[in-house]
Order: sequence, then C-alpha cells, then structure tokens
Amino acid sequence: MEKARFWSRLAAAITGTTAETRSRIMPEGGARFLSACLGRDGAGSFEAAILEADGRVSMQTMLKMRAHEMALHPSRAICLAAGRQPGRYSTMIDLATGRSLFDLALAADHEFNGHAAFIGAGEELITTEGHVETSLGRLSFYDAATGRWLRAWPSHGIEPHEALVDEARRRMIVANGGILQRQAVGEVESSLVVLDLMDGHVIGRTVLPEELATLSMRHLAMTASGEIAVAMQDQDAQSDLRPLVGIMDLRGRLRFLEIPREIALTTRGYIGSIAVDRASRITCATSPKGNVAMFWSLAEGRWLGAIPVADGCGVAPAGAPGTFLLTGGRGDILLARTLDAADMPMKPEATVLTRNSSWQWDNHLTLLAA
Amino acid sequence: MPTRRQTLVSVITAALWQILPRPVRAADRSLTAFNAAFGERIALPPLAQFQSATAALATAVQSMKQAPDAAGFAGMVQGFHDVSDAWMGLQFLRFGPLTQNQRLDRIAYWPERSNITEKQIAAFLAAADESKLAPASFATASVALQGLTSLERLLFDSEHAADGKPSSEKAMAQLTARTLAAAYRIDLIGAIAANLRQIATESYAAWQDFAARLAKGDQAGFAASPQEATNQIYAGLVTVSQLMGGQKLGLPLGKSLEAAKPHQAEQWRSGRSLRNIARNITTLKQALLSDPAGSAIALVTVPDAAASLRQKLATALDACEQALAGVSLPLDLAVADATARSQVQPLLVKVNQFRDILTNEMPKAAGITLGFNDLDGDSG
Repeated sequence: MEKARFWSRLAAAITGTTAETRSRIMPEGGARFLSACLGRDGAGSFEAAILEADGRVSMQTMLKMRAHEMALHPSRAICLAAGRQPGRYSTMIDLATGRSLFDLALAADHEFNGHAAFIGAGEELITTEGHVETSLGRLSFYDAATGRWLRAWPSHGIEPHEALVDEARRRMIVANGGILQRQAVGEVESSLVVLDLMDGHVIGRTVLPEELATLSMRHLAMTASGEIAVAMQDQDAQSDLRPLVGIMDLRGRLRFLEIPREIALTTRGYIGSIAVDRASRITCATSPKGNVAMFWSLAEGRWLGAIPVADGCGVAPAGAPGTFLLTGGRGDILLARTLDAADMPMKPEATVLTRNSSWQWDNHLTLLAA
Repeated sequence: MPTRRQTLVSVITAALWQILPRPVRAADRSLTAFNAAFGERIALPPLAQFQSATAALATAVQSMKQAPDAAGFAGMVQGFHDVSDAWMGLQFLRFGPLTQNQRLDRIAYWPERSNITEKQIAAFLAAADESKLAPASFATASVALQGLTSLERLLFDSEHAADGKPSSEKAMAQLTARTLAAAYRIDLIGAIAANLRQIATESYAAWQDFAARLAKGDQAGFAASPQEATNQIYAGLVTVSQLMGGQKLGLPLGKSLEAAKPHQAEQWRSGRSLRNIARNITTLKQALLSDPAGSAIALVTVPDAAASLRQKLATALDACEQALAGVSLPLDLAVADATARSQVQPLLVKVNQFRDILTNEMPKAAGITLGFNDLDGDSG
C-alpha cells in the first residue's frame, strides 16, 4: 500500500473520523503507538515509528539523533521527538507525512534530557534540560509552531529527566534525577518537584529518606486521581536491593511497591519506564536488564506478576482497561492483560503480537489518542 | 463479502508481512556450536585460572596465619595480584552462572560507593566476631566486604609512598603485630579468600555444566534461544569495552583537570589501574580472535567480512596497547597531572574507537542483535 495513502488515512484517524472508518483501520479498540527505534540499516542510525495495536508498523521516519520520548500533540497529527540525554536535537515530526518540520532552538549551554510535554491546547511545549556543565535543571518552553524558545523555569534540582503536565490540577510534576555522573556509584540528589502551571512556583517537593539516597527518580506516570507513579534507578545497585517503584499521593507522600526478591535481583537497580492503564487500576514498570515487565494493582499496591520481554522497556496503556502494549529492544511487541473476566486484577497474561528482531524498540512507547 | 481468493491473498500477504522483514541469519544449529565452543574454549580457561589463583591465595593466608611476618604478607600480596589478574580475565562473562548469587559483585564490588567499604571493614574489625567469618555467614555479608575491594583495603594503604608507588607500610604493620586485632584481620582476609575460592569453584562447575547444555541447544534459563545466548555472549564483550572506556578511564579522567577523580580509578591503591586495562585488552583479543570455533569472529561467516573485521579489531586493540604504553604515570596520578592527562586521553580515544567497531560495525556481520535498552539506559 502506498505510503501517502497510509499516512493520510492515519492522519484522518488521529484527528478524528467516523466510527466506521475507525473500526476498519484500528482493530483493537482504537489504540496506536509511537516509539523511537534503532535504524534498520545496521549502521547505527535512528528512527521513529508508528505501531498499530496489532503490532504492525505503519509508518517510520529517519531521525538525525536518538530520540527518547515521543510527545504527542493534544489535537494535531504532530509529535516532538525529544533527543535522548544529553541531546542537542529535539525535532517536531509531521505524522501525516513522516517529515521533520523543525528542530527546537536549544540554548548552547543546555542539553535536552530526553522528555517533553505539550501544554494546554498545544501552542507551547516544555522540555526538561540540564546545564551542560553543572546539570542544574530547567524546564524550557518552546513555541510548538516554530520551535522558538520562549522562557524557562528552574526545575529546582539537578538533572531533571521526565516532567508531566497535569492541566486539571494546574500543576507540573518534575522528576529531578540528581545524577551528576552516570557511571559514578554513590548518592544522588533526586527529588520530585511540583510546580504551579501558571508561574512555575514550587508547590511541593518530595525527597527520599537518607538510606535511599542512591535512588534517582526518573520516570513518571499519572493516575486519574492525580497520584504519580515513579520509576527509579539505583546508583549503587550492587550493594543492596532497594525499592525501585513508588507512588506519590497528592500530598507528596511516597509509598513503595514491592518487587519479589528473585526478580529484584535481575533488575540491576534499573527501571526503564512506567505506565498506568486506561482505567487507572494497574501500573506497569519495565526492567530491560531483567527482561521483564512488572505489574501491580494500584488500589492495594499488590504485586500481580511479571511478563518476560527481551530487553523490554517501552510500555503504554492500550485501549481496554488493564491492558498494556509492551515493546522490547529485540523486536518483541506484546499485549498484556491484567484484569480477569470479573474485572478483577489477576496474574498478567500476554499475547505476542510480533517478534521481529529487525525492529529494535527504544526506551519509551507513547499512546496515540484513539 | 470477500471472495475466497481475496481471503487467501490477504492471509498470504499477512504471513509475508511477518516473514519478509526478518533478516537472514545463521541457523540455530551453528549458533549452538558457537555457544558451546565459547563456553569450552573461551569461558572455562579463565575460570580455571581464577579458581587456581583463589586456591593459591587461600594457601598464602594459611601460611600467614602460621607465621605472620613480612614474608607471609608478601605471599598474600602476590596472591591478591594473581586473583585480580584472573578476575580481569572474567569481566566479560556477564551472562550465565556469574550472574547468579551476585557472584560478579561479590568477587569485586566496583565501582564502589565511597566509604561503604571502609565502614563495613571497620564494623567487622570492631566486633571481631569469628562466627561472622564462617563461610555460610560471610557469603551473606555486604558485597563490599566479600571480595577484592575490601581485600585491597586490607593489604594496601590509602596513601601512596612518597614516590607515588603503592604503599603497604601501615597495612603490613597492622597484620604482623602480635595482637588479637591483627589475628582477626588475618582471619578476615582468610574469610575473603575462602569466599573467593568458593565462588570460583562454583562458577567453574556451573560453567562446565552450562557449556555442555549450550551444546545441546539448552540455555539453562539464561536465554530464550541459542541466538539469544549468542547475543548475550557478544554483549558481554561490548560491556567490557564500555567498562574500560567509561568507568576505568572516563570516570577518573573527568571532563577537565579540575573535574578529575583519581580515586575512581580501579584498584588504585595497589597500583593496578592500567595493568587491569592491559589484562582486559589481552582477554578481548582472545575472546574475539583466538579460536576458530568459539571466539566472536567465528560468527562472521562471510570470509571477506571476517578477514576485514579481524584486521580492524586486531589493529584497534594493538592501538589501545600502544596508547597504554604511552602513559608514564600510574592512572590515578596521571589524571591529576596536567601533562600526563594528555597521555591518558589518547588511550580513551583508542578504547572508544575499538568499542565502536564492536557496537557499530560488527553486529550485523556477525548476525548479532545488540540490546538497545540493556546497554545504556536513558542517558549517557
């Protein structure tokens, strides 16, 4: 099928179309996904792709850099490929044509930290950035139509990684990773900072207790009630098994989700990404080194089980409640289910959609609105 | 309503859609042979060497217990060096039995969080509890305490001699004093040695078993398929090259003289930092080029490509060795010296160039898929 026809159908699908057309081209409840991946030419290049709910790739485009998060515009068929930390490029991509529209105008003394989010109706977007020498963090605002830099707020911490925009509660949540040197083993200064969405003043700040000072809070996902699921990385994983996944409530209090010991031993202290399902009932965190996706029920904080995914990292909520799409660096795409026929949380089950090792999916998977 | 032919066409199309993009790669049967040969010829020899070095160290500690003098101390230091040399020959085995029971970390907790090793040693010495040195108990102590990291602390001082060479003056004095404290110190070293020997014995036996299973296409739960096992074996070689560059060189070097961190150099107290890198290079040569069936070049089946890559790898590794010979000071001193830094930087460049061959050029020719996520996380 010709590329142009595919992309225009896709654009129509994203921007809203008739129910009939939707059921014809979106077989599984309307979900499709964006991911960065390794270039298939085997020469170390990078791409971005759209995955269908059944695991087929329906669009791919070359990128000049390795992208980390792909942030989707709230209404238009465009997305921002955020350059992986420490990135010099973040590119706006037209999903209808696969073309790169423009790069963001990054300041020379800062670098992209891999994550971005659109604000409001999408006129502006924010990226997490660090100063190239000091790693002091900021959130830069860019014009979403041109890539022009508008302003920046301090992230009130070191090495901000992911930031979420919570329009409903007029706040922004930033994970300051706090890592100055990635290879160094030791304590870091990590924090979760909540900023007022109007003017960036600090509403709240959460830090970890001293015995967990080697944990870097890096990835975030939000529930419908505004709780934040946090994924962490232990900068001294060899010396102990520490919590790696937590939930922060609206008051800024953090509670941890337990990982069974035999799985915890395989994670090497690193969680790749975290997601919350469509119904805000289940959270999933991935361990690329342990080659597993892990699941908990949110209401009880209870461990449900794990699903093997080779070099698994990307996870995003799929269309139906309790379901997730999982991607792995060796080409696995799986659909996981965590709610049984009685709509109760269960031991997760997965269907392998494809296992095509010519596609190497990178860290994050983004749901395209259905 | 689609006709039967339309349905058939769409079924075939769907099937082709899955099949066509899949790259052609070596049959599983020949990968099984590679994996087994790797196990037998590339993994087992350094494991055997590690086992005999740990046994010799344990013997040296026994001698020290009989006669706690300078000669006994020198025997332990020699044992430490031999075990460390052997450990350098194992650092690429990041797949399989060494990943069980935290063996890799228990052999050497490095890079280390500053102060954790000192604290652990101090706590043990203060309590002077013999029961904590019993093998079963000691194996569950902090990883910082169990292996080469704390062993080095007990045999070498944290201040160099005046000429910059490693010093053991204080360490030896503390071990040769005829006191209960000194006796416990020796016992602690003995517990570490026994622990290392136990890990070495288990690891050798486990890899013997594993190699035999790999020959039958059984990955013993460490990988889902022979191809996966091959990918993981190869990834271990990449990891060592990244360790050499990023951690052994890059971290102590820092971005500038002001940002240099000399005490991030591996085994700096015993003056081994550059020697360790030299051992890693030798091991990589063996693991990549030495054996027609079990070294990684065997995965490149197209003769021209194999010859070309063999040449590139040999040249790149030789360049690393030459650059290493050009560093005139021990690494921890070199990175803090304005002149000597300019000797270390070319070494880092050569190591990274070698690493790039492993990550960019070789995988496709070798039919290897490098895990994107498990290598390098979300930043770097």
